[in-house]
Amino acid sequence: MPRNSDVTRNRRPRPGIAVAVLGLAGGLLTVLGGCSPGPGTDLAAPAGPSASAGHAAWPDAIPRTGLTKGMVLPLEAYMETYPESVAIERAVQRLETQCMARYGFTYRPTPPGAFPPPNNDDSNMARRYGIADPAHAAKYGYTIGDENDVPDSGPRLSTAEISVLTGRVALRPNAAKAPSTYRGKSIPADGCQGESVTRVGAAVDTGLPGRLDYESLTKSQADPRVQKVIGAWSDCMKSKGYTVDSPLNAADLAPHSSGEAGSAEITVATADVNCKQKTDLVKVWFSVESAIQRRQVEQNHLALQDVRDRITAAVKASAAVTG
Amino acid sequence: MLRDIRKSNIGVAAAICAAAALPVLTATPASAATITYNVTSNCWNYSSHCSGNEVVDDPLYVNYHSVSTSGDGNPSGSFAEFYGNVSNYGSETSHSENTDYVYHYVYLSGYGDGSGQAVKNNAASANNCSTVNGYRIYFYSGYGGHSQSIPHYFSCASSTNLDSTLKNNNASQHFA
Repeated sequence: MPRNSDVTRNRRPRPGIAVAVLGLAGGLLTVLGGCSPGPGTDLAAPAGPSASAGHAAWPDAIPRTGLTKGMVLPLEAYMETYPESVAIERAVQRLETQCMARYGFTYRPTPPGAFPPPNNDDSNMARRYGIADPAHAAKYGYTIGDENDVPDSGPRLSTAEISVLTGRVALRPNAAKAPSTYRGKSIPADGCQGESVTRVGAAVDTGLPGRLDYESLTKSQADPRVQKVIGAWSDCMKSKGYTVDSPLNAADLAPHSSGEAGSAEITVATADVNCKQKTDLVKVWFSVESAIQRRQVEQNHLALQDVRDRITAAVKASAAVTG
Repeated sequence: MLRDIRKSNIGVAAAICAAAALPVLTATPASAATITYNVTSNCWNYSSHCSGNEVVDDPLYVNYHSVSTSGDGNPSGSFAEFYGNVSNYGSETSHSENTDYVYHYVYLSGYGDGSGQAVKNNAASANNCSTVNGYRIYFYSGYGGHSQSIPHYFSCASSTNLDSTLKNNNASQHFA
């Protein structure tokens, strides 16, 4: 299929164009070095860069608006935050650039942080129990509001560059291993990327708090107190003409287009949040889940602390690289 | 292994096109027409980041099977590939004049387990094949519920298992 030259690389094509194409083929880093999780941890760190040059602002560490305002779950203290991810990525990129230069390549990847996710960590508090911000729902429905922002991927790499950067011959799963040398100089295991990631300790397994966080959401959803309030919310939605069993499935009520939310979607989203307000769903669910997570922390404290320490160490190592 | 069965780009494109073939057209006099497709990528929405229906910039591969340990190789079975943000792994819709184009996301055909099946709530692992961008997978549509980072630190050569061990909760993705 020919590439669509009518669109810029960081903007979506208009639907008509996309359909036609298918038809043809069918610095504000909050480095938490030294902090210890638990009560008093500075999770209220300021968000990152505000919106500029069309880029979305970094997610709030703690929701500042809506029904989840001020809510923090216990496991969040052990999760990698978005500013930490950016700090690590920035260091990795600098090391990669230095490594690539050893092989004669000028490698300038797109700097991290320009296209943030909507949430600061795995908990996704602002949308954990479905959408929960009346003002956002009234404007964006179930969408984030950044639907037209996607990163510029930068220049595509040559096969030689990919080989030195990754140790593989292509950026595809199961791509063959690249030759172990480039122009007589040996390539690190897993390329410059592997070397750089290892040097700052970025490839640590930080999955434990995330897995526990997934389990607590599932367990809390089954709790009778939460089931009761979900039932009340569902009844409220029924009274407004919508049949839906859980607020986590509410986004499916109004299948929206790939772009901005339409009026029908906004109507459903507004009803959704309004019913959450009337039934106190978010507060009840959060309270039940907080108790579950406090027990999880007690039962897994050492392992969770180890994850937190490794994230903190990676951030410190990264700061040493970027200065 | 994927490499064993991914013979060529031509073969892949043909397989993807086969999955996208035979759209279903429905219409009623009082409403817009609806055309539905089964697709194995969201290249209909990001054609400038694709070659045919294959994502060439920063693809996130969503896999039917898991791996023994995150970061330890790639799984067998089928996969789908996505660029950027996907609000619903079930389907996304594009409106154009009086027609709704509905794209249902399914796994690539001819790649073993999962081939042709729906992606939504049916994935076990993912590969971030970008060298610069992170991704997050959300366990409900519209970026809701628990979310999981899929870093590119493991490179394209290894997959990250999803937190949902029951393989029934994965519904949207976003750049991170």
